[in-house]
Amino acid sequence: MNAIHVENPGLLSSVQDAGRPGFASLGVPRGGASDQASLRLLHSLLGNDPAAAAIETTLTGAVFRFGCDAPFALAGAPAEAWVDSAQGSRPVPFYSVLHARAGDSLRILHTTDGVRTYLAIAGSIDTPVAMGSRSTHIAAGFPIAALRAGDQIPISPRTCPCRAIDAGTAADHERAVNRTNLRVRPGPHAPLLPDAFDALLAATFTIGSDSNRAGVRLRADIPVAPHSFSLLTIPTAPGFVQLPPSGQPIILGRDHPTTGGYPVIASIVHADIDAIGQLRPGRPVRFIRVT
Amino acid sequence: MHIAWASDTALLITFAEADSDSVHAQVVAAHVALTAGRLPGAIDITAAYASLLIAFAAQELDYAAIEAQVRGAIASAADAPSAVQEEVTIPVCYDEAFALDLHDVAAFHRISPAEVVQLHCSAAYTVRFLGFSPGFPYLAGLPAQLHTPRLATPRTRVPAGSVAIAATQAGIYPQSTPGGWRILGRTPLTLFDASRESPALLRLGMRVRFRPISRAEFDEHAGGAP
Repeated sequence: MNAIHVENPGLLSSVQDAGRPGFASLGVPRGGASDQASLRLLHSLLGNDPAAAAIETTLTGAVFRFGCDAPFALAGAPAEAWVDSAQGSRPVPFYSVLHARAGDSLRILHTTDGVRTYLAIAGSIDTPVAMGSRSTHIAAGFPIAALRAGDQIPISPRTCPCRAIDAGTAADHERAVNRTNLRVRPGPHAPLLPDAFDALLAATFTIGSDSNRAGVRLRADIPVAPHSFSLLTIPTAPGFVQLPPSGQPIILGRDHPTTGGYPVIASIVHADIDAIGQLRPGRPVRFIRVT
Repeated sequence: MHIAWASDTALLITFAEADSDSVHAQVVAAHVALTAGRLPGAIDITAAYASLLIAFAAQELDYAAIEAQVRGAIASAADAPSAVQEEVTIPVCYDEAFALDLHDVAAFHRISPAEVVQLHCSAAYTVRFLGFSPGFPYLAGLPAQLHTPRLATPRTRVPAGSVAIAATQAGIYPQSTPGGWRILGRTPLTLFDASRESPALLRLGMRVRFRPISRAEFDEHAGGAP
C-alpha cells in the first residue's frame, strides 16, 4: 500500500477536505479544513480534484515519512519545513510542488504566523469516507480519529510537474492567513443586548490558547457587556460570535456544536470564515462592522 | 414567526420564544417542508426547540426571493396534516455500574431509586432536536417529579450510551464526551454511527420511551439495534 507514515502528529493533525454538508440536523457540523482557501489553493496547484483531502496540522507542526514517491505541496500557516533524505536535507518553500522519494521525511516546524498548515499530495488521500466526506470530526473520531504516531495514511500519488504559484498570489494568501481584524454584522441577539455589538467593535481581544476547531475563545481586559440572559437554544453556524454571561466572546469554528444557548451578538462575514481557523493564540484581533 | 438573516449566508426562522409541543410541531412540519422544498443553494437546515436555521452555500444570494420562498414553504407546511411520528423504545440498564447519579437524583427528590426508574420509564418523550454532539437527542417530556439541576461541575468524560437528565430535559450521550447532565443508566444501543446508512438512531420529531433491562440483557444487546 502506498502511504504517508505519521511519525509525530504534533499538537493535532487530521485528514480534512471540503467538508460534510447536509447533516447539521443530526448534530454533525459541516467541518472540513478550517482554512478552505488554503486547501483550494493546494489542490489547484497540484491539479487535484477540489473535493480531495489534505492533512491539516496545528501550530506545532508535525513529522511525516513518505512510503512511496509523491509530489506534494504545503500551504496555510507559514512554517519552516524540511525534507530529510539519504542525500541530506533541503528546505520546503510553501505554495510549490516538490517531489518526495520513498523514505524521505517531511518535517514541518512550529508555525511563525497563523495556526493551521496543509499538506497535500498530487493525487488523493484514500482514508475512509463517512457521510460523504473524509473530514475528521475530532470529538467523535469519525471516519477515522485524529492522526497518531504510527498511523499510515493510504495515498494514490500521481505525477505532477514541479511548479509554484506566482509570488503575488502567495503574498495575498499569506496576508489572509495573518488577519488582525474580522468583518462582522450584528447577530440575531444584538437587539437583546443593546450595548454588546458596539462594545465588541470597540474592544481589542486576545486570542485564547483554549481555542480549537470547534471555537475560538477571546479575552478582553474589560468584558463585553456581561449579562445574565438564559436563552432558548438555537441552531448555530461557523462565524457566529456567542457572548457567554462572562462577556468574553466565543467565535464558532467549523467543528462547532450545531446548537447553542448563548446569545449570538454578531456574525462574521462568509469571506472571513477561513481566517477564524488561523487566529493565533496570544495575538490581538478586532472586529470591523460591514453592512 | 420571525424571519431574519443571522449572517450573510444563514437565515434564522424563530417560531416562538419558548418551547412547547405545539411550537415544536410547527418546527418539525417546517423542517420537513423546507428539506423537501429544494431551496436553491441551501446546504443545511438545522432545528432547535422553536427555531430553524437554513445555511446557504456562499454565492450571490437573492435574499428577498429566498425569504419569500421560505415563507411559502412554511405556510404550506402549516396546512398539511401532521405526519404520524415514529416511536422508538430505548432499553436502559439502571445497574449501579452505569447509573452514576441515580442515588443522588433519588435523594434530591426524596424518593427511592426504583421510583426514579419507574418515573423515567413512564413518560413518552419527543425528540426536540439533535445537537451538542453528533446524534445527541434533546428529549422533552421528562416528568416534573424528576426535574433536577445539572451537576455543579461537569464530568470530563461521560461514557457513551449514558442516559441522562438535566433540568426539564432528558437525553442520551452518543459518544464519550464531557458533560454535566445527571446519569440515570446506560443503553446498549449505538445512538450514532457515521458508517451506517442512517447514522443517527433518533431523528427530529420522533417519540421515545425508555424500557428497563437487566445487566444480563444489556451485555447481550451491546451494540445492537432496537
